Amino acid sequence: MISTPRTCRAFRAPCGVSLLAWDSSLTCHRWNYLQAGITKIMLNLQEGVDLQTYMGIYTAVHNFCTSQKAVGFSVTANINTGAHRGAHLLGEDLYKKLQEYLSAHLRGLLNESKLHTDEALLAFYIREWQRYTVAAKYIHHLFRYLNRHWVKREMDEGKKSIFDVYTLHLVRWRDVLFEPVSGKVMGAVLMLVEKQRNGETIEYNQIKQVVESFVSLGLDDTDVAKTTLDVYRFSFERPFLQATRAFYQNESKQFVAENSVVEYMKKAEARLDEEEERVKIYLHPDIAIPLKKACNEVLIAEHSTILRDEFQVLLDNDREDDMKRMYSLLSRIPDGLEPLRQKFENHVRKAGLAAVAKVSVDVDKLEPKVYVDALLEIHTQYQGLVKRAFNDEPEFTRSLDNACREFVNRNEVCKSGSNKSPELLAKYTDVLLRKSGTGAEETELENTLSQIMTVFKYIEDKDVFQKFYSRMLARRLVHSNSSSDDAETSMISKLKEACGFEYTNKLQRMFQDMQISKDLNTGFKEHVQGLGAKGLDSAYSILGTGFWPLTAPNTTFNPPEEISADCERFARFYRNKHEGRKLTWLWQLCKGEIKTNYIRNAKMPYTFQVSIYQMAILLLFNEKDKNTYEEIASTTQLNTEALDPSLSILLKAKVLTISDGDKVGPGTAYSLNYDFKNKKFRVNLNVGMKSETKQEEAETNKTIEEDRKLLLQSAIVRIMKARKRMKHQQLVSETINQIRQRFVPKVGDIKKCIEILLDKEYLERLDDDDLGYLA
Amino acid sequence: AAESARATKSDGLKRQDMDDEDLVIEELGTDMIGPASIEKYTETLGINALNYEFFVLCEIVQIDELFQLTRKGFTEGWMSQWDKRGSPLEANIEAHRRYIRSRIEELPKDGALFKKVYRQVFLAGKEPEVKTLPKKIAMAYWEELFTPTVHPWKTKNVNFLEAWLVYMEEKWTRNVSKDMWNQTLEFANKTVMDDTLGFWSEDQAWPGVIDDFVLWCRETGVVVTARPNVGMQVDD
Repeated sequence: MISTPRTCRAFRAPCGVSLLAWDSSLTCHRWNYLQAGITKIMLNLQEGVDLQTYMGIYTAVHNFCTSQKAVGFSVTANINTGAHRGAHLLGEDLYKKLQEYLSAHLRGLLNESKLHTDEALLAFYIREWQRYTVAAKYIHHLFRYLNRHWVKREMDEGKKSIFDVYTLHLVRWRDVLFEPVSGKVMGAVLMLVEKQRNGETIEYNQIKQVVESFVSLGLDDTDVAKTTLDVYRFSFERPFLQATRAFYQNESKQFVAENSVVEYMKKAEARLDEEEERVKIYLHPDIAIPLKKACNEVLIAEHSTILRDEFQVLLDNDREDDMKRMYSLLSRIPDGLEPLRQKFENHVRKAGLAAVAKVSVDVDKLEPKVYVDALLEIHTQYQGLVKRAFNDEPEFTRSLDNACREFVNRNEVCKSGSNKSPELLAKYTDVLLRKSGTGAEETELENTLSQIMTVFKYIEDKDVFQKFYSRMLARRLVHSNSSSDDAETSMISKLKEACGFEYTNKLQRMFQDMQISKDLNTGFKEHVQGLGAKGLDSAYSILGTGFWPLTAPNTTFNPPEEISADCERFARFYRNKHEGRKLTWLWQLCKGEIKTNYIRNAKMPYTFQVSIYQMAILLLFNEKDKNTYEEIASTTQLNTEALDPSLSILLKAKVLTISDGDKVGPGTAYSLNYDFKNKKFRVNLNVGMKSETKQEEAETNKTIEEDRKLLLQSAIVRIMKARKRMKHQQLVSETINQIRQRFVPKVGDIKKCIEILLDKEYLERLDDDDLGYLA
Repeated sequence: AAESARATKSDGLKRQDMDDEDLVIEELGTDMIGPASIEKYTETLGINALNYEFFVLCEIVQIDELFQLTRKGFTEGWMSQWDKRGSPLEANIEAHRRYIRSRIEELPKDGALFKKVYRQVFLAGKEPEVKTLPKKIAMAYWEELFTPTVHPWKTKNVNFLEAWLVYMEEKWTRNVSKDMWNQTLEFANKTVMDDTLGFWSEDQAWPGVIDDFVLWCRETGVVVTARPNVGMQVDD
């Protein structure tokens, strides 16, 4: 492209000077013609432009550019700079004339604009803008020749402030008309918007057009191809945002003074929606975010204190909808919700504590179900609130969890013993899983077990729960009064899911032992039948030592002939199957039934359900009707701790009568009561004493302390073995981390365990509070 | 050079004309001597067997469990001492006498030496096969070791030794373990630098007995807490 004018120059240069004078007058003439045409387009486009005029103008522009070539060259021709100038100058005159023409036209408009104000000004601006831009498009086309050659070359060369003809129109508009008049136009816009905010209907299309106009003027002077929003932002957005702030500042201040906070929230919410809608309808999307921010600031942030102060009132009165509104308002501002979360956490904690206090008037008689239900009720209530009002936000859930953890672990009931919460929860689980008259439905039971797990998750002393749970599971299994295997398995797998394999390992083993025992009994029965011996109708459970929270009986015992024969047969059978295993009889857990046939006036023989100890005592009366305490003791070999309660129950049930004294003990004698009477024909005499269970609880609590010490020590040794050397404080916090899933250890207890390990020389003190591991 | 010096010294000990120390050596032929003979030896060395001066000897000759002196402890103990010019000690009673006297004089000034002596006392005082020191005995040793002229455990405001002994008497029911013994000195050294006990915090590695002592000191007013103006943080 560039090479062509160069070759041209070589031929035309000599004749340049002679043409100059001639040309100048011609230019004048042609421009007048052009100007008339442009003016017609500019002012009376609605009348139309006929093809002849159109072609005329187009040709004139073409001629203007082509016939003038030599002129430009001759004026500035010199060897140094002329290489490109010659060709470029061809359209300069025309360009300048057009520019001048536009400026003059716009100055005229500017003067005219002074006659209008407010909405009339707005209408004037829009009308003229539309006329002007439509005309500009036409003129742009008519001047295509200029655009394509002279303008293009100028721009290619990197000349600033040379634009294509359409852009030239915009630049002129901006510089001549827009600069001085935009402030007033904007004023009119803002007045309209305020009217609308005050509830009047307005012609919002006008605003939309103003926006469009302002946006079109966003020309990047350094690169015409680019558009920017700078002009629009400065001239429209900035004042718009300012006015918005001022309006809402004013309005909200007044509204709050005259209305309740709840009313204000509704108002603010409506206003925020309204502004969002406004952006959609007639504003540029660019303003959406800053406008939202401005509104949030003046409508919410500036009133956040009174909003937050109201939150407690809303909580106290369960105003869920209003809390939801407050949540959605405060979630719009940075750090808006944190104070709410704190209040919420506090409130839930207090509600939980109050609920517990209400049911725990007498802690000793507190039903596990009542306690757990009280905990659950609060949790359910506020979990629902989080879900419905607080958008189920994780941070609020965390506050809820914190509060629940507090009131589950440190409430009125826990004051009487810090292990109370897990203990009661385990007991409630036991109630649910035990065979009972109520016979809860399976799905219902499953639901309740899931709820148990909800509380379980908050329990800090999970080891305590485990202790009680395993004791009670053992009891359920041994006494075979578990309501269903499915429910038991389901509960164990829930615990496993929450705490891991290790936590439920023993529970699972216990469960398995019972299954294995069932098969074993079937085998044993077949074995006995094969022998042709007449055995007892017996069932044996083989419990793995170490998995069951059971201990060997603390009394000697000489089982009755009938029993021991069967036991020995079973023992032989078992040894045959599993060589090398040692069986220890847990007599204290054995039980059976005996049928009576001595009672006078009985329509049917009574059946007694008895412990094995009671059975041994009663069987003595097969030999004689009266036995002394000493005789019983020496034959059964039971010590007083086992013998006395067994006798007491038999006396209390009037199966036996006492003579030579009225308190069970040495020197007394016992006779069979032939006149025994009971409403039921099956009488359960195998009932534990209240004091026994109390004692068991105390024991469980004691073993917990022991186990914790061991757990801590083994954790410390494990950590030190891996690290070899560690700062004391680091070791303490690492230990807490490892143990926390089971219980929350006290720093003091950890220190004590470290001391024990120091004394046992597993650890040593090194310099600088470091501890070292001694293998 | 040190090796050969030691060798000569060892020979020297055997060859040398026997002096008062011979008595001890002779008895050490049976490998171990008891308190009676040790007492005689202290007279020979010219030190007081009834106060801390004796503990300095304990540290040198590694007197062990129930105040038994072994041949090994005696020979190796003396052989490994160096005089002020950095050469091995001469193996005669005069040199030993001079040396132990200078050590006794250093004791109040040399914290590291005191620590060595202090730690040896625990080993010397306890019974074999037992890892702890009876409380009563430990208390007597503390009283002796923290002699005001040697290693005072008090400041112008607080007599910690006294408080510690009262606390031991009233609150502590168990024996004293090695760790507790050693840490007591560490703690004592800290307290004389800061008698408000401001250095202490529960998170530090102090044994529980010391934690409890600090709390006891504050409760009973032995130590005035440095921050009386800090109000309780009340949870709303």
